Amino acid sequence: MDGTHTRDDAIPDRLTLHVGDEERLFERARRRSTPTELVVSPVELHQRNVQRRLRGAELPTDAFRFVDPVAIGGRVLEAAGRSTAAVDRVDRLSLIRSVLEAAGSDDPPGLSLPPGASPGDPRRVEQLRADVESITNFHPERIAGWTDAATGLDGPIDDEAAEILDVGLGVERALRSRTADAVSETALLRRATRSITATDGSAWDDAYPAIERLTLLGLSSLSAPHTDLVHGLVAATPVEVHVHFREGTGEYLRRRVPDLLAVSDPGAEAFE
Amino acid sequence: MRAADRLALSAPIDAPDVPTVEIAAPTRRDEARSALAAAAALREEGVPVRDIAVVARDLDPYEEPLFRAALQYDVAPVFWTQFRVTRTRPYALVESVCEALSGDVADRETLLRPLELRWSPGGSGGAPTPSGSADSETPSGDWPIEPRAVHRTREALPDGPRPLPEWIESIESTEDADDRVRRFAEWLDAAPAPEPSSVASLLGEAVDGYADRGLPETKAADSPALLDTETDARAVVRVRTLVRQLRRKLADRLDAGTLERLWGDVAELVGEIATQRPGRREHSNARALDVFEANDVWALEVPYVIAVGLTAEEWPKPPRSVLPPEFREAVLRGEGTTGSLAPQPAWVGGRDRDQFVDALRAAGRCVVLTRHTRTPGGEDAARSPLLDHLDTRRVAEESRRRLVGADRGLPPELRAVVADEPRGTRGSPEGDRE
Repeated sequence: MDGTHTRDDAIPDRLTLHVGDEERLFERARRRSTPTELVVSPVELHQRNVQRRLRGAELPTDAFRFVDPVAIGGRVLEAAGRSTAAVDRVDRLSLIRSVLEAAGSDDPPGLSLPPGASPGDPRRVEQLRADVESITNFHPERIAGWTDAATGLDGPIDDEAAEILDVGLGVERALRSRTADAVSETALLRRATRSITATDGSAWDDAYPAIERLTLLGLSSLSAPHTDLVHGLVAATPVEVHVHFREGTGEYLRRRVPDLLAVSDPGAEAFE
Repeated sequence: MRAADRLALSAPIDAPDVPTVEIAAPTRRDEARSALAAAAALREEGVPVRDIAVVARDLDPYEEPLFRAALQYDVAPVFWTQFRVTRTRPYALVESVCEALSGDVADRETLLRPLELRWSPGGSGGAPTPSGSADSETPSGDWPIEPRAVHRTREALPDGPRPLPEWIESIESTEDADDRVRRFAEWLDAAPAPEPSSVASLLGEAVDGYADRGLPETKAADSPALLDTETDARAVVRVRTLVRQLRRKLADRLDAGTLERLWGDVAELVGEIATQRPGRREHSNARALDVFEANDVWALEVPYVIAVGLTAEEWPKPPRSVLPPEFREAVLRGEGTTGSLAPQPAWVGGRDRDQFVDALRAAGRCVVLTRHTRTPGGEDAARSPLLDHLDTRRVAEESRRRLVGADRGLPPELRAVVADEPRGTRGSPEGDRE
């Protein structure tokens, strides 16, 4: 766990990637009247572990504001006066059930069922939708990348991979037509990302005026929605972003980040 | 370069700076006993209990054997685990009330089920007493009704389903039926059709009744560590939240016309909400041994970490994915335009690898790694390939037996670590340091 961090040409200036090395955070613990650093960790108990370490070392936590990634999207949209209503998983499953039932009727809404899925199996369909979202963030360039990846596979896996994409996009589209709210909390994060880039960063500034640095901690993966948020932040705001991968997967993920960032217009989606 | 990317997910793991001790036991139960015996023996050597943590990749198969072993070695464990509210009594109570109200008729088991789950009238007094029946008829004002009295009433009541008003009559005309059962049946019968507010207040009353009178029963019967009481109290908090969520969700569903004003539909919605919203049992007890899932130990610092379940089948255990393996492999490789797709290292055990490393790094003094060598079906359980990254000190079977036996002797491999401890850093055996 030595100080392995990267600043190469493919990585934007204000993005620093670490493998492990969380102790760096403790060096920045100091008294502040307002927090200047957002500390973001996807696992709920990890925030508690960091706070426990800070307390144990008798370090002040004033400089940090601990949040989960979803809360960031909500706050940015709220500050912009936009709706933050999102369908939760319980309701999403029930909406999917009705989408599937409609698809089984005489009037199919252009939705083919994935292999092994039946109208009684909304969880599997939701899993496909969530996987497509986490891998592509519904970004047009990544959707094209998925299609390329599928085409490169042997049959019949090529068709299966292509069909999974169709189902994922089809369900997402069908869900959007059935609710005025955001389909998921991830959709809020995507909206927030677009809002940050479209306003040249002022949407971020309205939500987090005092924040100078965002630290993502304890990652075992970097989903497309999180990648695009990070991308949008370093492109449109002066915020310094530090990503700390976990040690077992960090080297791999660090090498993949330049390609993950190589999409234009982060937060853009394939739906009009 | 691309091949190297993929290989990075199986690259060597740096061994920790502290000794690693490996204990292999025949069965999972033996393994759990070995882990807890090691914790108990360390404590007897003066290591404070707060300086020891047990870590499992997945607590599900280990919670029960670890709990039993903890009782045997007189250690109070605290499981930091997904809190399964559906397995708790307050949840079962709410569910049973909905079920007793579902449909036009109820059978005697369904009717009495909430009483078995310690239904008690909410608030300070009794259930609404309709005109004509005086309180003095109640043989005992005590709630909840004793299990024996509920049992006696069930024996005395007729078989077969019937509507609530008939049950009330039947209870009144049955000599051996406890009058408190009648009051409960009247409370049920007075329930209005399910509207968001009425559902919230009726179920809220049931939860309040439980908190006031059911919970003390758990406490009275509990062991000194009060583990069941803790579970019960947390469940009350969770079920209260659940009732609030239910009110909102019911309103939405009724507006959308996707749900009818039927208690059966309410019961189903309760189940839907409860199984979708796992909470965590967050609890810190300075006298208890922390048992964590591996995903939660990232960035923790504990001198002695005991990691269980290091078999090839269980750690690593990549999650099942709905995506074809060939496609996942292509995304992991990320060649050409596929490089923009976000890969999940978990597909090939990456998260398990992270968690294994996290468990190693959490340890400040020593890591004990345990595994079992036989499945319940009697097949061989192979050693986890993650252990190949370490040069562990292996405990001989003879030493392991002594560890779990009556004299609880520390294996030489662990004794060496404890003996090596700088003087003056050991606390009292109870070790209430926080």
